[in-house]
Amino acid sequence: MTVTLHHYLILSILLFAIGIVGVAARRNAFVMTASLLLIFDSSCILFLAFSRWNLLLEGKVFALFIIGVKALWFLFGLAVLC
Amino acid sequence: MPDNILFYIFSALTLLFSIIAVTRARALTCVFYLVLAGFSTAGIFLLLGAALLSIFQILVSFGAGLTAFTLLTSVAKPRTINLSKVIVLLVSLCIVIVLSIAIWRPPFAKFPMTGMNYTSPSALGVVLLNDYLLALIFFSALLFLCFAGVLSFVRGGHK
Repeated sequence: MTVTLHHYLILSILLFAIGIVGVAARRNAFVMTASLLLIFDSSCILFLAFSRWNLLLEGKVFALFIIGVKALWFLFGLAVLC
Repeated sequence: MPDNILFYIFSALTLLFSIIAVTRARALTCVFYLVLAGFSTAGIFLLLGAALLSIFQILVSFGAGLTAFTLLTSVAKPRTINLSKVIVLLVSLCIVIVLSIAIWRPPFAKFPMTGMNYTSPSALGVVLLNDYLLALIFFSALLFLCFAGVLSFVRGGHK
């Protein structure tokens, strides 16, 4: 079956749902931080999918910024936890 | 056709590792599967034509995993790691092989005006340094300030 934009959207939604479940259902602060990283990943996939299907580079730029924020968020979470 | 197969493989691995990372009780196991989920997500980035971002994703995932592993093992001494090393090595090897295949695939589109490859990092650099230069500067300054804040926060906590 040919992969279309909808496949990437479904993957992004599933990843976002896993992240939300991890944030809402778990009480471990470290797992909550990791779940937020999954949410960042899902947004990156969404930006890149729309960027690839419209042949625009702006989605890549925003995804680059999101990856930077994600790295900093994880560093900040570790600093607070440890 | 290979792209479709790679997409399903990467998607399944990403969802599987994410679910395992969220449902594990121990933080070390969570870190390990989070790194693997990051690698799989990097493969999806490659399929979407973002080679530079996939490399950034791998670097960030691996760096975050190593930092978390170091901090967690220094703060609380872990018990024996219960992961099956053979399975871990096999999965990591599969990811590296599939990523290598995905890196060498040809670009799928070119811009009609400039003829530049959509997948090349130079195209991203041209847009980033021309249209989004101010945003990049502000973002870099903000990241630097946040990094300095985290460092001062950690040092203040230790004092």
